[in-house]
Amino acid sequence: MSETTSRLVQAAMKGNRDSYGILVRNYTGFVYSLALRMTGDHHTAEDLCQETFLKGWLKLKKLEEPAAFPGWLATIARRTCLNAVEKRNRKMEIGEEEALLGNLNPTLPASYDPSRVILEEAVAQLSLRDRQLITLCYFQELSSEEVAEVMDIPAGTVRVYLHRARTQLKEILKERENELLG
Amino acid sequence: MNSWGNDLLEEKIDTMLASSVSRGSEPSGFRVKFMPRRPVFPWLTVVFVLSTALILAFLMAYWLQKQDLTGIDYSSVFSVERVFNLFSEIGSGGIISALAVILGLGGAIMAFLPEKKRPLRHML
Repeated sequence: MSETTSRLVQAAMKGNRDSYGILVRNYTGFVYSLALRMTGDHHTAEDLCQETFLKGWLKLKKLEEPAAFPGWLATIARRTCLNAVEKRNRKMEIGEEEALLGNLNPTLPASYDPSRVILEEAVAQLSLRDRQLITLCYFQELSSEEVAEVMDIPAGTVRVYLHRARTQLKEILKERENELLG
Repeated sequence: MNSWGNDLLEEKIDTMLASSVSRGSEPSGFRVKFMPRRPVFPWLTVVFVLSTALILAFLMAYWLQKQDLTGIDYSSVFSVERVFNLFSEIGSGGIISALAVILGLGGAIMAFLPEKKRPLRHML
């Protein structure tokens, strides 16, 4: 995490709303992507993004180490999204196993360019766990140890799961290689 | 996250996945709306209204005590003319009464005007 971000977090922890506003702008892309990949619906993702940042602001004083902000925010985002997924599954009366492994048919924002749509459609074919892993691992500000902490699994397991997820993703995208590289 | 191969497709996937979670990767036009500021409790207005009400009550009690309550004609006591007399008969004690009435009215308006009518409140 950069020094500027660390200063922003410290200021926000003291109640500076403008600093938190900058943090929100900087992390919206990450939180939104995580929410979109976990729920498969961009309207829900927008709502969950809002909810995550609101929870973050309300709980910010409990954050002990400013440097841990990205992981802390990722944990809030993940839990918020998991709650939403569980609530939706209960409504649809889907079994847990089915819900975790079931593929999504994502609704994506109209502003996404075609290659991003291809990527998101491919990611949506992974399991819920792999969708989270792919998103968390590619977020530059999280180490694999931090990802492990967010996911509540050992760091070694993160690497194994990530390798499998990437291989699976490559297999899916191979069919659309021309569209993607062209 | 390091690339997991030299394959062109793998590189492309890596780049796209990294940019999909970076700053500005959210859909265009989407902004997190920051929560509204918690409204400050209007302590000053409350104190103003309460003290005005106390002064009014005191003056009203004082004034009532001076009235001949046995044969009182309520229609004339609470008439519009009587209210206007409060302002027209400004003497030594009348000034206080008139001020109390104005303060009371102003306080009541300030306390009960909704936030949306703030410009009107400033005009008053």
